[in-house]
Amino acid sequence: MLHLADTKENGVRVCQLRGRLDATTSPDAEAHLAALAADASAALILDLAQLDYLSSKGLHVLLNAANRARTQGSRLALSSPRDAVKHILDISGFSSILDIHPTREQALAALAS
Amino acid sequence: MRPATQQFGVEDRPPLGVTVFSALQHLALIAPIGLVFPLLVAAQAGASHAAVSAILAMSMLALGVATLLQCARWRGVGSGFFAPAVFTAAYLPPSLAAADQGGLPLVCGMTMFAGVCEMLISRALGRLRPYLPTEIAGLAVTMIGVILGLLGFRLLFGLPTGASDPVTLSATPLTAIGGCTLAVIIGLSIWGPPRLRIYAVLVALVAAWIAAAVAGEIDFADLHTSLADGLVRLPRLPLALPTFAPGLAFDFAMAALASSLRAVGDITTCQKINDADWLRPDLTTLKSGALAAGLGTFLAGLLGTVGLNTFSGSVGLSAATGVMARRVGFALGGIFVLLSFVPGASALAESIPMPVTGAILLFAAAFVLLNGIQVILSRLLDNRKTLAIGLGLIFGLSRDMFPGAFTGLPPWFGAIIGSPLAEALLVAIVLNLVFRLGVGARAQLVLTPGVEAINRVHAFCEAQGGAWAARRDVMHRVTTALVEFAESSAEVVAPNHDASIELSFDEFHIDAVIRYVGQALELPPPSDGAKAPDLADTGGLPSHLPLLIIARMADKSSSGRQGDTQWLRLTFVH
Repeated sequence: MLHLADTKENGVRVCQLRGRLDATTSPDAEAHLAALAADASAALILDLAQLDYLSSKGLHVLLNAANRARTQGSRLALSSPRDAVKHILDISGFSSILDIHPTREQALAALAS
Repeated sequence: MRPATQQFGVEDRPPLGVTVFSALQHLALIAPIGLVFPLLVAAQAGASHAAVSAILAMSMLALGVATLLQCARWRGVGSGFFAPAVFTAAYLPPSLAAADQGGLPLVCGMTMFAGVCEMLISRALGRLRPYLPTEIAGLAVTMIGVILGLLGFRLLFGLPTGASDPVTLSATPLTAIGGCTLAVIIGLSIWGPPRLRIYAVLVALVAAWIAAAVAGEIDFADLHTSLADGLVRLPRLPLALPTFAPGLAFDFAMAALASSLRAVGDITTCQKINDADWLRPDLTTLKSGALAAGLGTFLAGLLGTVGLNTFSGSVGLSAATGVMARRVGFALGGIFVLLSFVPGASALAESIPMPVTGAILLFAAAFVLLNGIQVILSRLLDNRKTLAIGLGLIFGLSRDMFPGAFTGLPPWFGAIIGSPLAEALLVAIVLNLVFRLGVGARAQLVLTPGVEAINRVHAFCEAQGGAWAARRDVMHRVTTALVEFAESSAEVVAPNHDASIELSFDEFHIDAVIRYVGQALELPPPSDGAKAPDLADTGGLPSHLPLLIIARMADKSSSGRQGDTQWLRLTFVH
């Protein structure tokens, strides 16, 4: 199961992911993030604090979100991944291409700068 | 790995000042509580003033020798951790009965017998290991924290022990001094200058003693009488030869069992607070520590005093101050030995008001308690494990909550569950034994490729991890690897075929073997890093990423083929 909750903080959209991001949940997550990207005016933070599992299919969703942001000229950041999720981001090489911050506050500060 | 809060680890050599003042801090915590039990037993035996003085001096000597034995690591004796000795309440009821029946000679003889029992139990710890899994060790540490905290609460507010009638908190000058002591310790340890934090207890204690003296709560006449015996005097051995009463053997053996469990809990705490990467109790130091505790009790009997054990309060204080160096233990043991030659030392220790000691115990208990909870929560617990731990905790607490309910129990049963710790562990161990029935060390899942396979892998891993009380972090890696296979299964498993996943568990490894008919999976070598995806390329992920994740989640992986069947073996260090 994956729950997605959107908020807006200081003009930045924050999408909180709670649960598992894998092959069973990636279609919903993909559609949700694509819809968010339609609003190209604001930067986006994906808050991973409550994300329990991240599989390679889930990584694909993150990669697509990053590609969309890049194409639209907006900014995307990931925040507060748990150790296990951070480990997946590291071994997959995603840590070197995505903007990842230890906390949501730090991600907000980075996007505001 | 060194814990972040640690200032001086077990192997460190703190400066002389830190060593001595830290040792004095522990001395001030141990002595007032520790010397109460020998005094009570001596009074029960009708000992003369001279005999009481001799017993107190020998008690100091026993505390010193037992502390040195525990801190040392010499030929299989001693845990090597800073776990000082203290006279334990576990031996109080049988020692009072022995004092009543046969005076001090019988107390000495039965205490020596209990020491032998503890030493024998320490030799059997290896065989008992399957029945004392990590989560039950965590329960032991948690219960010790609770017991310590409740004792601290009682001493702080001057509440009677084991009272069944409702009691009310009363505000006395000493209670107020105790409350202020707790506030000062907390304030200094959190907001105080870093150099002062490790002496928070000692500073608060000295201030509290002075405040109690000003308030007229210190009996200077008693101190003066003790000093009249001379400043330095050789301690005297008891004159009577130890005797033995078979009728008390069971009670002392059960107290020895409770003391051994306490030592196991304390040494488990020492292991954990000294190692940020602590995974499970280390049997070697548990055995050598329990042996040293038994030897300490035997020597205490030989020296003419009552049984002793490791002191959870000191272990908690070490965790709180971050000073865990073995050398502090050696200094403390040495000071105790020296003080056995100073007649006035025990009187000075006894003059520390009990509410002040209670405040220090409350402070230390918080750290022991949290370590116990962390040990329990490091494991996945299914309903069976949850019930074993939860009911053990509740039954253990019930002894203090409803002391009157236990007065009608048959004496033999009362001896078995002679303390809240023994009661909690007995319930947890028995339930764990019952619940082990039907839980195998192997489990298999037949997997039909498709999206539903992922949910089944999650449910399978959660159920098995809980049944085995596996480490959360390791089971997470197992699940992640198997989910990657499940996601790839539709592409690699031949049409109209299923895959099978077999998981097996022991305390040190989790093995996963995947078998299926279809396309081979070639795991990348361990050194292969992932190539970062190119954001300019809208194509997507590197094709080998699922296999890379599988290989990196496991500590060891291999694959091959047997006939038509492909196999993949993943080993996870637990």
